[in-house]
Amino acid sequence: MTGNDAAAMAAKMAKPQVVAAYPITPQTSIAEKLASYVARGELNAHYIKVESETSALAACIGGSLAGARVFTATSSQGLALMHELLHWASGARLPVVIVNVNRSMAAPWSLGIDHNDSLSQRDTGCIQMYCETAQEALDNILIAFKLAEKTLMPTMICMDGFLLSHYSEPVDIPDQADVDRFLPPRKAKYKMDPKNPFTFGGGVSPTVLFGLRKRIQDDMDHALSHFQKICGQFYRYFKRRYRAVEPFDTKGKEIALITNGTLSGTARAFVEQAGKEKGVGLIKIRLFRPFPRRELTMALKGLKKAVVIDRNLSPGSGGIFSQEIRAVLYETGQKIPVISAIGGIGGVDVTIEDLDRLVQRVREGGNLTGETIWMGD
Amino acid sequence: MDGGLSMAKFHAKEELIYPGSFACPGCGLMIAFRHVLKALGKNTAVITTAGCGSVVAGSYPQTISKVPFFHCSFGTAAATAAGLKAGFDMMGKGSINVLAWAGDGGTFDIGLQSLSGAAERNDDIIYVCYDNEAYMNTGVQRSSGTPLGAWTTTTPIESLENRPKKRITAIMAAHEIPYIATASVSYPDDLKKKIRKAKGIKGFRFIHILVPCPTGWLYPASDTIRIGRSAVLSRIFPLFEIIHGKEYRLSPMGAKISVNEYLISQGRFRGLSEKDISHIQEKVDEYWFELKMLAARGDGRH
Amino acid sequence: MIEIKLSGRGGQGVVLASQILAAAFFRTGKWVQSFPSFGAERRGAPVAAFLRVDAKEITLRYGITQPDWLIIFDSNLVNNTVMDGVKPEVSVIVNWSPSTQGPKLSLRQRVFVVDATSIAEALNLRTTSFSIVNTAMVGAFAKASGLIDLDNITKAIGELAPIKKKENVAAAKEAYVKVKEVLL
Repeated sequence: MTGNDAAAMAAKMAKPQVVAAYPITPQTSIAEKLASYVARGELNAHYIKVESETSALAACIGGSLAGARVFTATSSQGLALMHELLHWASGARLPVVIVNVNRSMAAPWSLGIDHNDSLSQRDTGCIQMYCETAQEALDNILIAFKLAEKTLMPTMICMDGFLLSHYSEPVDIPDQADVDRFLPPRKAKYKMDPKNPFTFGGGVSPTVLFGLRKRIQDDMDHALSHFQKICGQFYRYFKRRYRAVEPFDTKGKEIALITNGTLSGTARAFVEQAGKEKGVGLIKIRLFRPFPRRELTMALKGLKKAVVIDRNLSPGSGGIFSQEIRAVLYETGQKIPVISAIGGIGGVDVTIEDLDRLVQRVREGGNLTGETIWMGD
Repeated sequence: MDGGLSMAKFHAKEELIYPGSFACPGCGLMIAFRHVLKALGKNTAVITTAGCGSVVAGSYPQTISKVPFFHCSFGTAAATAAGLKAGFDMMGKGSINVLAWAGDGGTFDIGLQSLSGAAERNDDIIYVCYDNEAYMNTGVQRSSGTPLGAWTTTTPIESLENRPKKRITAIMAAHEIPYIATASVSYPDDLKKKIRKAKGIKGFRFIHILVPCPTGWLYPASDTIRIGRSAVLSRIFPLFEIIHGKEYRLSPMGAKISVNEYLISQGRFRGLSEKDISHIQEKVDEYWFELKMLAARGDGRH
Repeated sequence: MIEIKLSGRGGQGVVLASQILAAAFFRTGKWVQSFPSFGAERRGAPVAAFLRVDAKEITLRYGITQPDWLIIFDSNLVNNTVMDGVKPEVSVIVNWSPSTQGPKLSLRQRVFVVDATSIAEALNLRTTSFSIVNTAMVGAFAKASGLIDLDNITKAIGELAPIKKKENVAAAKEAYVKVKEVLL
């Protein structure tokens, strides 16, 4: 099944009660599949066919306030229309699960994949994860529901547009009974209930807001350990292990390629083929918010160079992952150079040969820090 | 009459689109776009929003448009067009016709706020909604323009569209804008007359065109004009004008026929039962009666 | 790892053919990765679908530019861009009707032809605009490549064909027998 099919399957198995989604390429088959599940009675949910993505997330916020489990999916322009409400859901501490199928932002129109859409939302206070395969999409969405409800934070699962959403591959579908045990129904502590009325979100003084934001940061710090615990539980039920940072074949290597999303799969194939000969290993980042500082630092121990491949660009600054990684290494005193590479923006293919050329350039030496290597140049 | 230009001469006028669009065979919106541009003439600038109208116009480095053309974000056709016209006005180029060209998705749904705002301010643009009754470009998902009983991918056979089509012209009428009209690709002379009339009016003008879509309505591509005609004749999509939001004027249409011919000609309605069809007939008759009453009251001043 | 490209026009069932092949290979325990061409597609426009097949997991992800097998649903496409940039050793299967001009291909390719259109027409497999040649092409591929057996193909067709399952299976079986290599 495709990545989108797997995502829709996960959403169905999690048994959300309110789904609000607006179609946008390359998310559309998720919205369609869920509509079909509801129409056929396979998913007992109220599906709101909203008229825009702003309304999609607003409706999810509403549903979540009722104490229901909610779900939405979008992409690029649609995610941008959710921007205000991502802040809102975070500040309101609501466990909304949002699947974002990554796609380049207009203008001009482009159906290619890059991560600017989701990374533009990194400051909104949502947990953010990246998947590589359809299996990961299915599994990580199930994990997301549990994590969101545990931490009371909106959780975004990112899937590469076309390269993951539309690629068909083998997927292991878990048993519904096991999913039900792993992810029991939501028990909302605070909700809109006439029997126990609260007012939510009214104006606060500066001091109160300051405190609330500090609380979110503390809860984000704890979210990392919750994530690890939940992944542990997931492993016990489904025998698949997920981590915030996943090193692959880095022992005794000099260079680490650091990637996220489907590019990690190509990088893995490259490392399998030529990693030994060229001294290259792979570090894949799954969890981006909260940023897994300690895990990344540990993964980089013993390596001499980090080559971060950003499938994104913060114009006027550079690749976003490389900025964050550099900052972490500076904090932790790890003095290895972080080399910034930008590749795959707009959906341009990044092949094994491209990775080989990149590694070649890095091995040729010279001081590449402070420069950005635009792959394909 | 229509400015003294005979229809024969009109049809012979220069095309303002190049051939080779990305449209499906039988696409209603391309026919509409061609007529609309011809009627507006060269001194026109087009704002189009996400949807088939944007994609069929071509991908870089190609375009079908011989007039200036801008692709804007999905919900903002009216606002972007209003801004463009304001800019032209301030630069002494106020004679340029600014056309906002959007589908039912970008008009009835995500673009409704922007549309209402521009209409309420009486921004000086021509807004033409090409209505193919669903989000066709993303693969046939329902919109609030999808009619009762229609199949789409989000209203599958087990759960067909159960809400009536949104009355966009009634919403526009409530804004008391100078000119509203409905038009059909199957009545090109009427369509072009209305565009030319709109061209001569200042303020916010709204034209609603039904554009049959073989891909989403599920019928053979060669039937587009025939289906557009039966939509009008059955009064499922009647042709009329609304002046200043108050005076309704019915356009010439042939004698009224039953909805059957229209409904059975399209695969998207194959899930309708006899009961559903008579319900639809009832609703159409009700609406037609209402329109006749509205037309009879003239400009509503006595 | 084998890379396969299917090329045809929107409406000819190219994507469904790739799904049938994927399902057939998957049944034999292979790892399959399949995907369609991307972008704004309209009826009648050239479309392509792709597959990678391997004994072990395929982790790489990007487009296929140098397929090992090229399955062409419409012989008119052969002299179009579909042959641009393919590697010289590619094997090609073309839906070729004897009444049309032969496909122009170089000596180094293995070329197989099958009149899938006639097979489909005889079984009444058509839409208003196109003959449904996809199941015949898939059957032809099975014989020409020897990479997948007819039994798994017919089972996959049974699973995935939306209508006329019997006729589609028959088309695959007939094409399996009728496909032949062109020796230049």
